Amino acid sequence: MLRQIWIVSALNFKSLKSRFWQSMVIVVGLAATIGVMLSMLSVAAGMRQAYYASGDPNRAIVVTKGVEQEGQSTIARAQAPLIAVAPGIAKDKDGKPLADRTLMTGVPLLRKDGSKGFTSMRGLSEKGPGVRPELKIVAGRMFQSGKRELIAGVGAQALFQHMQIGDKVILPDGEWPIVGIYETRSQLDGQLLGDTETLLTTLHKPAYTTMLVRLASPDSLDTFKKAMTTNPALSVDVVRHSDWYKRVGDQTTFALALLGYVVGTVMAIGALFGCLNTMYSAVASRGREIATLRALGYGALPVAVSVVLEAMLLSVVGALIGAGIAWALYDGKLDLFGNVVFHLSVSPRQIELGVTWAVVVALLGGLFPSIRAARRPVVEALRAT
Amino acid sequence: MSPAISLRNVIKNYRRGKESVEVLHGLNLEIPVGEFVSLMGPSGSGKTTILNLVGGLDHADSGEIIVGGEHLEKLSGGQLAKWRSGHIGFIFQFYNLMPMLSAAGNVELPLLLTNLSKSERRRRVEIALEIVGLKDRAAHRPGEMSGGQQQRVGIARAIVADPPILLCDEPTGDLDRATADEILSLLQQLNRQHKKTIVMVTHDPKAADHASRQLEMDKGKLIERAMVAA
Amino acid sequence: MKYLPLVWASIMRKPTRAVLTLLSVMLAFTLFGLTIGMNATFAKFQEDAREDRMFVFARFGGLVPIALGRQIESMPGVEVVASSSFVPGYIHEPKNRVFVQMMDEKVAKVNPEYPITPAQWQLIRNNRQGMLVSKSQADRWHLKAGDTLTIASPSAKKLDGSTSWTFKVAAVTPDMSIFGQGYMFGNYDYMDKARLLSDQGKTGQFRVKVRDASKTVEISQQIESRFANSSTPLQSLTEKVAFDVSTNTGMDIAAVDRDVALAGMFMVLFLTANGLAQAVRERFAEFATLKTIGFSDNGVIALVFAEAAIPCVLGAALGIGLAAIVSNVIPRFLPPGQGLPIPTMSVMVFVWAALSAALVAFISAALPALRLKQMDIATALSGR
Repeated sequence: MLRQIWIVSALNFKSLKSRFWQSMVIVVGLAATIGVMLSMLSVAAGMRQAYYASGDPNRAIVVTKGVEQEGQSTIARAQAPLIAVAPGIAKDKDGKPLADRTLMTGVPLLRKDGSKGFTSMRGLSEKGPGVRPELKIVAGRMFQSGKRELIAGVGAQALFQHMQIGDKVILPDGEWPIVGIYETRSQLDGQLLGDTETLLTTLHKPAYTTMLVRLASPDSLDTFKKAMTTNPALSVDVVRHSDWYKRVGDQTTFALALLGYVVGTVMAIGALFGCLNTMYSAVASRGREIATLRALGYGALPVAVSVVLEAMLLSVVGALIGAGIAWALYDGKLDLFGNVVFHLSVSPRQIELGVTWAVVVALLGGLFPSIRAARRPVVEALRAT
Repeated sequence: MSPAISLRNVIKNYRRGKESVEVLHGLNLEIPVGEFVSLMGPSGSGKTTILNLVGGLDHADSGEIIVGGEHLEKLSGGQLAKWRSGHIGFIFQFYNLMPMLSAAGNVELPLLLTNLSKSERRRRVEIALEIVGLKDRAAHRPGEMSGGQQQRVGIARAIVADPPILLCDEPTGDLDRATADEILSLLQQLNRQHKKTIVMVTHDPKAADHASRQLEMDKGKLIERAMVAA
Repeated sequence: MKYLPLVWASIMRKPTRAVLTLLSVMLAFTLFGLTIGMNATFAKFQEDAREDRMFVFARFGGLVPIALGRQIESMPGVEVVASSSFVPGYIHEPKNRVFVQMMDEKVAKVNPEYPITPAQWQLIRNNRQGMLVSKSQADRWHLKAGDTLTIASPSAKKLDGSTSWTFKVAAVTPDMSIFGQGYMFGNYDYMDKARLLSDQGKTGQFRVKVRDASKTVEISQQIESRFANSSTPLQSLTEKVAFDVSTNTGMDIAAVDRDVALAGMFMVLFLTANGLAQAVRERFAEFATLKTIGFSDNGVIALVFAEAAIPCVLGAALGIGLAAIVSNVIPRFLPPGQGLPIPTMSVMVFVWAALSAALVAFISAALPALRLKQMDIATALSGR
């Protein structure tokens, strides 16, 4: 059986050259579909990755109870020490708890193209770097506690004007110089960082935004969470940092991803119809050849399978071409959406997805023509011109 | 009366790759109005070429082609097309019908090029189908008809615009004896009763016998074979 | 047209092929409609954006004291300043997200184009807990005038410590395109008086209307510099800039839409060009026969163009129609505030679709038409 399939398919592919342009319809259709879909998804995928990378399973974030966005959370000054002494928090080499009192606010900046943009500005307290070991200073130096200084992320530097060391950012009490550039390989790279207490004063804000703690071990979350939620003086939620960013990332990119899939689906259906068309045509033009094979004793199933295989080969080739183009054009490119800086991503997983779609389209697009090829009475096909 | 068809000193070459083959070497031919001429000869002798030249489907390399008083060698492609639609009816060996149109639809095709109203077109189609004896098959598709019936449709299409001249290329080549005779009788009827001038290219001597004048092509030269009493 | 039966019969020669081609064209144009329709919506946003208005809010996030609004109003050239705040929350479950805009009484003066009558504005002035709900939102949450609605908003804490806000639906008002998924308007005073003391007297943003549209940018810069060193520095965005989606997101979405539409058209062009080339190849002898009957070269070419044009134009019409249907249905599946604009099938969309269909038909028919023109009738006929 397998041998028959092999022979019939090989014969099929030999005659493919004479059906070149029709076959190209499938290749072009899938290339366009997968190319467009992966290009669009590269935005959602890149953003999501940037968000996911911002969270760490070894950290927990403490926010106002019920709040879904970091910016809406407030932690009163008085509450901070209560949180810092809770069980489950890792200690640094001096035995002090690794708990960061953070501030998050927006800051307007000019994009490189001159348009008005904005990004987030975060405050880190003295334990900040300890809680975030992935933070690396790649140029200049870290800001000093108590000083009116800022550091900018590599992403912010790439997208906004005046983000070089020495440039000044205008805050209410004057100009703050940028003294260093940092990298975290996450969504944080599009932001600015400064000292929490100094920023609080400058911005006249009465409370912190969130507390970010480093867990003693990933399992300590439950201990820490229990302590926080049973404390009558506090009204907070505790979420593993990685879970928090997974949710935020998924929610933020939902609409974008949906858009990509909708576009991809519509085009895939269009490509499917094109595939059906081509395969019906291919089967018709191979009519006599198929009939002869069957008259010689080859079964109907190998014939049908060879048709589907042809469709699959063409569509997978098309999908790979489309994916290749999307990858070449977009993968890794720095992009901006709102205030999130990220790298567009055409990942192997997405390419796999594209190929899978191609296979599905080929299966559906080759199925009916293959049935027709297998069912057509041999005598009729032999007689036809 | 001036002849219906007149070829004077016609030379026609065909290009096969780099070579040029001369098929007609200064041919002369006169066909009076109302004659039914058969043209026989081996393959490649140029008989189909003569048909194409008379029908304005091809240009001669030199010489005059005068059909119905019109010098075809002086007309452009577009003018020839226009001229063709009222003056010539073609009948082919393999019928050349449109498989997706009904018999009536096929016969109507030449009339689409005129300004006739829909009802007038329908009337003429009916008449043409009646003449060939297929009035009751007007709605049928070619795929549902025998070879003889298809050829009748072809003939109806050729006469529906009432052209004075009919050019037939092996009209009975694909038919069995009995059916072929029917078709040839029909052609004779068109010639005698409706005064159509007919030029018929054929392989078949029995078919040629139906004509009133028989010609033969041999190496580019026309030979009169026999004149049969009308 | 008397030639229509001939062209139609030619197309339907292979019914499966004709149907599949039509469906493929239809889908490509559905995509076309959705993407170019979205650009049409963006264009409408820009058109609707008034040149004499701007938004003013805290430069570094947070709330702005209402008093600043009065100061802005007294600046030369400023006609009126309204204030509004957002209450993001949910109904019953976090997944039922809603977005209430709390407006003061001056909003009607700044935004007179809102489809809300003075009588309706008055309803929420009279009843502080009153709320105006747009039709699409009312349909979604099954609300009608007179209903009571409780919204949980964890970020808007009330004086008594709770986070649930009770509203009474005063009226259901028409939707507007600028709020694609509908809107809910509440009374700003209700919010201000009921919330934490530390938040009272503050608002989320100001809407500023200037007297002379040519001075908008100038006044916006003046506002920023006047409060630059105050305790609450301000940032202003003119409405034209604020409604420009590509400026907001930093991404040229209109270009993305165009590229997607183009990719779809390219895919379809390949399909129709191929199909037509094949059809003409298969029926070469038929076209030769038509020439023997007396159809001119141009006549035959015209038939081929018609054969290309019919599925393209029909597919385009069906596709845009489907896009219109899909556009109406999508908003129901998106959580509000997602900000995806709903595509509109404007006149421009139809025009572009028609042009694209014509172009695709033209290009598809070009090569076959050329072959037909060069055809040697004798050879074509003898090719049997």
